[in-house]
Amino acid sequence: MSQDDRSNDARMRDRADGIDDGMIHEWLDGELDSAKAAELEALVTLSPVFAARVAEARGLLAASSRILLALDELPGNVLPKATEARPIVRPVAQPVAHPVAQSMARRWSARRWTGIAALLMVGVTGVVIARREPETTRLREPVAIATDDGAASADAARSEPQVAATTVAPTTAVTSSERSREAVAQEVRAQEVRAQVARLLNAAAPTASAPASPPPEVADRAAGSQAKATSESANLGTRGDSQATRSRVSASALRTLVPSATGAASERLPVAPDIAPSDILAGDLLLAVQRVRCAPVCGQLRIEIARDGRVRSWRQSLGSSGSPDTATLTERELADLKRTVDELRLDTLPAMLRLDGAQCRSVGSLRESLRVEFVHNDQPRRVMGLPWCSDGTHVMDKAAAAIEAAADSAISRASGASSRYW
Amino acid sequence: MDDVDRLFRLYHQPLVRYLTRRLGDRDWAEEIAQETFLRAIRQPAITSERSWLFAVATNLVRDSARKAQRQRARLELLAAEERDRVQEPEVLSMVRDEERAMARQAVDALAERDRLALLMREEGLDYDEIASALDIARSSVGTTLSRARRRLAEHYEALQAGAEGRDHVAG
Repeated sequence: MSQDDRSNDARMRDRADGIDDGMIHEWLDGELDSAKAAELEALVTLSPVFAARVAEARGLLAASSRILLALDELPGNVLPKATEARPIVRPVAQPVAHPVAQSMARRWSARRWTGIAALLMVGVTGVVIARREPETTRLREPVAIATDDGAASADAARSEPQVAATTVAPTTAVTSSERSREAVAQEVRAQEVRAQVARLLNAAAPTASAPASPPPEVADRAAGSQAKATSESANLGTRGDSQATRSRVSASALRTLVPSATGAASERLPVAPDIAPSDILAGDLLLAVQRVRCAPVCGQLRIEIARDGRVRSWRQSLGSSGSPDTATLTERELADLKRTVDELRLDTLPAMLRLDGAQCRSVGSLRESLRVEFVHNDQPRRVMGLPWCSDGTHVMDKAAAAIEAAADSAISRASGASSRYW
Repeated sequence: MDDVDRLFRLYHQPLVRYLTRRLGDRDWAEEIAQETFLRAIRQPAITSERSWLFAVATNLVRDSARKAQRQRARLELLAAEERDRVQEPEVLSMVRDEERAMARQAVDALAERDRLALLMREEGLDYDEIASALDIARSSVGTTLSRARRRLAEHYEALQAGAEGRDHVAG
């Protein structure tokens, strides 16, 4: 390098130092005249420090847009058109004759973007896991009652579907006359979820790792649950069920929802239902697990739990030594969660076929969202991720192809790490 | 009248969005926007339409500040009715509400000029229009926006960190 070149570089660096943030933003906003814009463009290539300042400014620009977007009632352009045409299996048809349920359906339709938000936010799926609560509390909470029934009924349905149907009916008969219409509608939806889970479990039984016929202890438990249900429905109008029974349902459902990549068996899995948030909320405790990635380096497993309508969440960075917050869980609940997460088999997810950065809303230096979908047997499956990031990289500025390529390696990095989550 | 139609079609939506973000309430924003367009009708000639509309709307917001308390009470009532009418899944609603509240706090924490410049820029006003609407030098718009964006992001991030801390504590 000649002395002239060196002095030119030095001049450029000095020039870069002299450029204030205002001019950088002016440039990024397209408000700078072409001569100055060309100068700044050249500086970016010559000065890594200046390039970093520009990258930060880009991040701030995107961040502010994203933050302001949250002020709007309805975010624009976040609804993927393809969603409308997807052959999504809803948890059984809506009860057409039920006015409250129709109303809920209309609201849901009118606010489909919330579903998209849920896809981004919630991730893989939600399942009902029991929480030990006093029976007196359950009696005052219609939704929780329906959920308890639902989990147990689903489990019962797995072994004896016709029995499950009979256990649901008395509860409905008793409660519909006593509860508000809204509660009834929620219960209807909860029953739909129960039925769908039962169907899934039955359909998955020959292919998933669960045996086709229930093991004796499950059958016994189901029979016990039925007897208990019948008895307590008569006496109390509701009942509780064992944590273990519900956990089994949860684990089975998750096996069904998250396809295994281990071979032919997984190819016969039924299409996963697209469980709407409201359906998930039919449970008194939901678990949603997301494998998330950030660009360029970080990755997290984000676990969200909603109980009694309140979201509780914690995140575990991949490879991090930090431990998740388990303060609100009992040991038994934690054990269930561990088992559930293990059974998600995050390391065996099929290759992603689609990464849809266009649906994401970046929060610039604060957060990066990336919507991840995968397809199994030509059917779209769950959306997987809401990456969280604080590295200031604005991924969404990059081309979709670059995102797709990066995601493959990110998933590879993340795989096999599930044992460290806990 | 055709000109008013054109103005309305072109600028009503961005103006309402700007005002909604500025005020935190769509109904109030609609009222201000309507008043702004009424004034536009009465105005014999407008040279820079967009900056004029945004400037007038901004001034109307200032003028109506004294009515804010009364408006808020009414709008809170309307908002409550709306929530009753369109009930979202609770978790989603809570998450969105939390995000919106944090965004609102972060925006409110900005200096008035920074906030207005940022909101106007988000609605596509160029630097000349922003300078005109806010009566500031064109050369200071970039600096104003730069400062606004940084502070907004910092405020929001701080709020988010606080919320996440509470999540962990509360589980």
